[in-house]
Parts: sequence; C-alpha cells; structure tokens
Amino acid sequence: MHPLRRKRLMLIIYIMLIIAIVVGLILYALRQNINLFYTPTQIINNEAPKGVNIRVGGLVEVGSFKRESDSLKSEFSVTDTEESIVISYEGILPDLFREGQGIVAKGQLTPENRFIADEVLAKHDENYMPPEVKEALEAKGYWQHDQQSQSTY
Amino acid sequence: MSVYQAIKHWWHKLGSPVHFYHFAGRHLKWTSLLALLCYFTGLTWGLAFAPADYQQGNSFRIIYLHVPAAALSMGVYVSMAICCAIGLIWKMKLTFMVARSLAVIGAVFTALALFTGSVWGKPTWGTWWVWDARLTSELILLFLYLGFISLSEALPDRDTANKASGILAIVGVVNIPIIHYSVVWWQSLHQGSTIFKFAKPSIATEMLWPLLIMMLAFSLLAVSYVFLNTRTQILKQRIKRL
Amino acid sequence: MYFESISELITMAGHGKYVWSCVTISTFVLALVFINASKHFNKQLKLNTKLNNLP
Repeated sequence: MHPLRRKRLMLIIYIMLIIAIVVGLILYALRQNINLFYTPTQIINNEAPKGVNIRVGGLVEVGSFKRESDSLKSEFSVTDTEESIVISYEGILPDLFREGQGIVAKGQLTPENRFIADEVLAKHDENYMPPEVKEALEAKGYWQHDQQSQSTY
Repeated sequence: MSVYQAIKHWWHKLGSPVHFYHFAGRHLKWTSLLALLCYFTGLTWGLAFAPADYQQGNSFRIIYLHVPAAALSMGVYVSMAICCAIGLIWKMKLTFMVARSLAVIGAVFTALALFTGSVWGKPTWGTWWVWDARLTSELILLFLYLGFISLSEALPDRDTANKASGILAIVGVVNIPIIHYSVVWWQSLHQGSTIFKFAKPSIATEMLWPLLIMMLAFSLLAVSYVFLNTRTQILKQRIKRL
Repeated sequence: MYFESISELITMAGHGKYVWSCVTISTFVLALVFINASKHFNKQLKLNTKLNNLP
C-alpha cells in the first residue's frame, strides 16, 4: 500500500482505538447512572438512595398483586428472582401490566424499603408470536413468563 | 487481466465521478421501483395480513417501520464512516459526496426510528419517552448525523469540510455498538434484540417475512437516495469548477 | 386479511391511531425526501445542460 495512505489508515485506526477506550472508560465509570433502574437486590443492599426520585425494575411476583376495590390504589411485589420489594401505586396501570411481567416503576423509597411509585411502565420481551403459538407453547410446557434471552434482571 | 488487476481497475473507476454518475443513472430506476414495490408489499402484508401479537396486539405492527428505520439508521452510518475513511486515506472526493448523501437519508431514518418508537412506546410501555440507554444513544446518533451535515455545509473550503465531517463520522462510529448492546450492557426499558442476534429470530415466521421485505425496502431506499443525491452533487461540482 | 373489515383495519382494536399515524407520517416524510431530491436533480440537470457541462 502507498506509504502515505498507510500512514493515514494507521492514524484513523489509532484515533478510533483511543476514542473506543476513552468512551469505554467513561461509560464504565458512569454505569450506574446509565442504568435506567435499580434492581430489588440493589434496593435490599441499600445501594439506592432514599427520599429521592429513583426507578425500580423487576418482575411482578405472581400472586402479589392487590388492588383496593373502589380506588386506583394497588400494591404488588417486584422481584429480580433473588430479592423482592413491595411497591404501592395509585393510578392507572399500563395495558401490558400483569403478574409475571416486567415493569419499571418511578418513585421514592421510604426508610422501611417500601417503594411509593408515581409511575409504572410495562416492559415487554423481544418475542413476537400470534396467540395460538403462545397457547401451544404453554400447553407443551415450554412457556416461561416474560422470557428474556438477554436477561438483565 | 488478472483478478487483482480487475479489482484495481474497478476500484479506480469507482473514484471517478463521471463513471459513478452513469452507473447510478443506469441503476436508479430499478432500485427505486423495487424499493417502492417492497415498501408497499411489506406494509400491506404486515399491517393487514400478519397475525396480531399475543402480548402487544395490533400495536406491534409499527415494527414494520420502526425496525427497518432503526437498523438502517445504524447501517447507513457505518457505511458513511467507511466512505469518509476511504475518502481521507485515498483523497477521493466522490466518497465524500456519497457520505453526504448517506448522512441525509441516515438522519431521516434515525428521526423516523425515534418517532415510530415513541408512538409505539405509548400504548405498550405507557410512555412516549424515557432516557434509557437505547433511546438516548439513538438520539445521539441523530445529533451525530446533524453534526456531520452541518460541518459539511458550514465550512467554506471543501477539503476542510470533508476532513472535519469525515473525522466526526469516524469518531462517532463508537456509538453504533453502544446502541446495539445498550440493552445488554445496561438495565433499560427497551427490550433485547429480536432478529439481530446470534440466535434464531424470536418472531413468528408469518410476522418475520413482511419485516424482511421492509428491511429490503429501506435498504433500497437508501441506495436509491444515494444514487439520486450524489448525481446532483456531481453535476453541481462540475459547474463550481468553472 | 387478518381483519374482518376495513373499518376494523382502521381502528385495529384501539391501536389504530398509533399504527396509522406512524404509517402516514413515515410514508409522507419519505415521499417528501425523494420528491425533493428529484426536484433538485432536475433543476441542476437543466442548469448543467444550459451551460453544456454534462459528465
């Protein structure tokens, strides 16, 4: 290769490498800030600040959902399969909210590790299929609630 | 002519704006017609004939615009960066023209990905926007495109403009793996990959086919736009030289 | 067709406004981009032809 062109190619490769390393280091240092939410394990381990707006994410524990009969108040447990915390919420829940489903709640943590949410968002996985296929998988026992191949819980 | 010489010959021809002008002129008709055909076929199939999703219902149909736009927003950026690298190393003006065309269509795709994603998020997640890693990095991609376009237009000297915008394009490539792996590396609201992964696509076949057709449609749209816009740039440049 | 009628295709069980706003705006924007590019090309071609400067 032409020596001048090789020099330019090398310069570009060096620049890209340096940028990759610098950006990588910055992202690593800021990783907790880049995470959208805390997990229940992090909450239990006191890694999350109390009394400020934070987000918690996890799966709604099956059987934990309670709703008051004549108000929009509800309560449910959220788990990352290791730890779980209780979330109280007053408001309309998203359509995709159901037990066994992932959610992300925004709100504040009380000193007793209860979470008072003012917003609950539903997560969904990356699987797309018609209802008949889902039912067939359920019948065969291949179905797991909200299976994520790249699980970050 | 040996294979090596044939490739070298083709490579040098590629740098000639005159050759590209006629090459693009010959192929623009069929790429744009095929793009149009794929676009309307894919959309009709996906919107009216594919089954609804067990979980998201009919809102999932936005996938037929959102995923192609998002995927191409990244693919076009990488192509743009490669063009700039080649232009900087071989000092080819044509590759910068192609890069400028790619920047425009890439920015459009990125904006569409953000818009359709936002509209899709409202009935499914329950929000129009959230500052998670995936959404934020895709927004940054839009800024990179706009920055590239601004640099290439604002700087008066063509060579300086090419160099500055080219370096921005190359440096910004680091954002592409960040966008792709954002859903793996960090906790986010956006879910993981359905098709772009080293595993079987996690989408039913009858839903996948129209999606592949739309991917082809968007790819051909990008190619067609490059053919059309670069030809305009080539014509403009010939007048400037006088 | 998956839907029973055209009106069901439009409403999509409540999700119609989301899906169709995406479809119409995306198609409109893409059409605009290409029509614009085409207009620019034709204008430039006329100019070059007038100055007898074609590749």
